Amino acid sequence: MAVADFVKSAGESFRVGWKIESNWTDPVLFATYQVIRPLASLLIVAFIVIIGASVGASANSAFYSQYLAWLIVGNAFYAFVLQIMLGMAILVHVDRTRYEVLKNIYISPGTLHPYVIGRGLVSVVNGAVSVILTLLFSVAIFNGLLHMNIPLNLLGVNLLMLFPGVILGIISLLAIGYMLCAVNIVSNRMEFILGDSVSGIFFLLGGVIFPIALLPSYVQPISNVLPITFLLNTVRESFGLLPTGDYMTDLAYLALTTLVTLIVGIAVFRLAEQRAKKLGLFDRKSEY
Amino acid sequence: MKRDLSIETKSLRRLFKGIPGKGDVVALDQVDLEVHDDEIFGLLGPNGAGKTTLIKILCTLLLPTEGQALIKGMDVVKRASQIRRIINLVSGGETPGYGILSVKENLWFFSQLYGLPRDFAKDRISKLVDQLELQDYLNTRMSKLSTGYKQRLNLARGFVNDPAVLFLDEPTLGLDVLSARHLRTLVKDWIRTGGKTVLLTTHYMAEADQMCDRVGIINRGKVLACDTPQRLKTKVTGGATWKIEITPSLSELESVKSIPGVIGLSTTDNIETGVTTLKLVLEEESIMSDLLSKIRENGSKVLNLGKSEPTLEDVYISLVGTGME
Repeated sequence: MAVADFVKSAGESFRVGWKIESNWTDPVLFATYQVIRPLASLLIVAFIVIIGASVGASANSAFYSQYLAWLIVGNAFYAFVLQIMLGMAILVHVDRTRYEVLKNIYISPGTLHPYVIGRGLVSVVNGAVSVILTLLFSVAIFNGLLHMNIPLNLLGVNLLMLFPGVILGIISLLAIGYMLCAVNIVSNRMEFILGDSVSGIFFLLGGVIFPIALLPSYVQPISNVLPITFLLNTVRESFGLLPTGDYMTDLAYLALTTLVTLIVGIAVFRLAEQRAKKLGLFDRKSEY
Repeated sequence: MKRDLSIETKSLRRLFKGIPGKGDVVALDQVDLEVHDDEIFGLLGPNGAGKTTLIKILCTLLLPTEGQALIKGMDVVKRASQIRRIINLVSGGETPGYGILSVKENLWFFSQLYGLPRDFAKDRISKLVDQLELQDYLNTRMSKLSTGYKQRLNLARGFVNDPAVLFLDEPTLGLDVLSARHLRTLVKDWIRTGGKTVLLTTHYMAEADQMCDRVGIINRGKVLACDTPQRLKTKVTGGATWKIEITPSLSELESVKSIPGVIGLSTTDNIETGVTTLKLVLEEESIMSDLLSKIRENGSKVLNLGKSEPTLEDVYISLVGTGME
């Protein structure tokens, strides 16, 4: 398939995906829905920290303020993980079983590739909306409402450091989303647990709510090969929240893990495609 | 490479894994088929005969276990990406797109999956909407359409890339008489534009008789016969086709079926009148006396008896041994 046709198909899949995911309600309710989950998750963890710190009579200490800023940024950008994993994990199931269009998309010249990428990009946009709103709400709540003076200067972010990390991170997450689609092509029992399971693992092991050094030593090697770990490192470095970090090293590791994830993602997807063609799974309906 | 053939299968075989301990299920068994350009070819067969499996292989959705399938001379396994540009599939009784999108948006989405240039796609969609009389529903969400209009949209989606080979898998399933007739007319008009081929599977004998240039009868994965409807009927008239109305229905149908010389038998019960119509294909008319005796032994009374003109259904009954119902 020519590149121009691929881009056109992906673009149209994005447009359709956006309509499907955003058109069900008015923009305000949609934005609320986009922010409520990450913000609720952040507030739960943040208030546990605040209450814990106040018991130790150090709620206003520089350490806890710094940690809260670290936590807010990690949680906010975790929205990309959540949106992409949940969105892409359910994609094949919905289009195969509910809309019954998967087989028609598969027999088009581009097969499923531009369609999966286009639909994945919808999750990226949803994630971006969540990230921005979560950051804004966090500053408003912690610094505006609670006067906590958390060192979170949204205008002082180094965008030249932020964007390369975020772009690479998104590519790696899309590659993982590709794998989730692949699993769902060959299985019709995992669509509702896959996205939550994978995003849950990343939440725990990716340095979202606590530093990886605090994890048991036997799981730290897993954290150190997850792209999300390096995505969050580069993001926090661009926010000036990781003074001991080495941005270039983290970016290099992110690029490396992204490349590996991309190769594995495409390979897994192709294997799933072959298996689906062998077993006739492109129009299989869930039997529940 | 045979240029005049749109679809060709050679010893095509497809197995599916069966229940453990019961062996594989043979969905297609040594299927040899040739469908030409400008032809509407019908595949008739009961549920599970292998019709949809064959279509899925030809549409590049499923790999064959053995043998070869070609579309315009291209192997469906080796040259799937080229084939996808020139084919499309319409399945009856299925959702034709995204419920939340309008008719226009659904058609536009699929036109772009085929990489149609914008102006060309707009023009194509506009023509299809006119032909399928969807103008009043252009901006209506697909989920709000009636079954008939959903199927019109489904057909429009199938035509959107102007395929050289169109697969119609029971396209009139669940449609009322008028919608089904409209759809059949459209397909026939479309094929007249030239250079097109339709492979149609259907349960409706009259539909196949009316639409198809040639018909293949498939059962248990094997193509039992393949010819024009007229020639198939002529072949059957070597025997005799009879229609007998009885009441009440036969208590032991098998006892009638097993009479030597009965090639095929189908029954239709009219619940309101309590009359059962038997359609029989007999080797020779002399069997009739044995048959009437057997009907009486079953406790049934003959209300009406007559010889009938062979139909495609008679062909089907004589080949498969039973009716489609």
